[in-house]
Amino acid sequence: MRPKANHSMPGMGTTLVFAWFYDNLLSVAHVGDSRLYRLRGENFEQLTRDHSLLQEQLDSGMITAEEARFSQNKNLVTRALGVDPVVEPEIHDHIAKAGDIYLLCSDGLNDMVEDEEIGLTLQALGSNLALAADQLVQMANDNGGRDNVSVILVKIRGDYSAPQSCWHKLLALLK
Amino acid sequence: MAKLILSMDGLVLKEIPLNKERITIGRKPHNDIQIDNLAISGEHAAIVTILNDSFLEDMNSTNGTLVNGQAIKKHFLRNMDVVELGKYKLKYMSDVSAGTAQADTEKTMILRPGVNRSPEQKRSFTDTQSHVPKPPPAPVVSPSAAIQLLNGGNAGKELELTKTLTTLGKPGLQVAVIAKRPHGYFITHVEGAQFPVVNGESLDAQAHLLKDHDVIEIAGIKMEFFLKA
Repeated sequence: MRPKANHSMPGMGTTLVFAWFYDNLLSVAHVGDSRLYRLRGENFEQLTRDHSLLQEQLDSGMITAEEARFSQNKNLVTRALGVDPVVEPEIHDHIAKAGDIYLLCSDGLNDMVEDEEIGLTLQALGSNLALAADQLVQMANDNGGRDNVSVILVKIRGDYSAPQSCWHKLLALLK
Repeated sequence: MAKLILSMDGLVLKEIPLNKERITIGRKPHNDIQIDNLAISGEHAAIVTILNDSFLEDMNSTNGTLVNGQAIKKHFLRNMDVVELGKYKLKYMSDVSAGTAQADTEKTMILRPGVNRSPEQKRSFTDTQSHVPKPPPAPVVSPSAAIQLLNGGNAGKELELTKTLTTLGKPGLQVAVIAKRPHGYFITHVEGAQFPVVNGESLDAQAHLLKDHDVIEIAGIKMEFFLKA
């Protein structure tokens, strides 16, 4: 690697994805290309958008999703932890539903395993999250495993609304 | 670094490294690659290179630009693409060697936002990173396999194990999964109090490598695993 001043800072930071579950919601914060996906029924979706050169090229229409699979610029992030003293995470709230499965992962997973395969794995093994997580890491390694792979799975088992105070209950009754 | 090999009638004329963000091709002398031929427009095409990816664009040339025989306006170049301008051919060769020479871990790299953004590309990359991902290794393909049901209403029925994961059993009662991996087929318990039984022996929570003609029992259904020639 030949880092040039001000152009890139190779290997000196890390990426983050963070989810906070409260009151039937989740708040997701991310920096870089670590991702959060959601499986809801049969619908498997990426909820975060990478802070990466490739995502910017996709957004500007310079490259198509099909072409992006062959891009040699997969690992260039435009935001990371540990580069500057302060970093601005991207934060979004989502409503959680019983049965949802959330996947937090590093790019070591999604660079090696197609989204469709990840979704099918969660559908097949959703009743045993530990096994599903092992299976995902194994698939990334079987496909070449070029990077380290981090996987966290969270399943919403039921309602988790925040307990309300007496005052809020009283207000609700009066409405 | 990626490069272009210019040839005409099978004769190699020149090798051009893609060492600039933008390389222009045309008949006029100010182009980076000048091709002095009347079939080539003054400003015929341009190649924009962003780190390890290159994009070819036809600059509204009179006779057009072909890639692998297809006329293009804009094209994301892939290794061994052949670009045709009139009688001239340019073969694009991406830097595959850089990928195999590098360390085996693939680190995420960080681009400083807001620095050196040119209006057209948003960013200016004069530095070509030698950090190219390795091409994926050729997948080791397991021989195809199937299971045949031995009892129950569907006895005799065969199920090909074509997918990466095949789940078996009754959800809520007992489920097992067969994972197709490069070095074989593995059965693992997914849910239920009962664990799968293979050749009369109950499995533990670990994945178990299946051998030809193993007999599996899940949720009261017996089935035979076999490899297909």
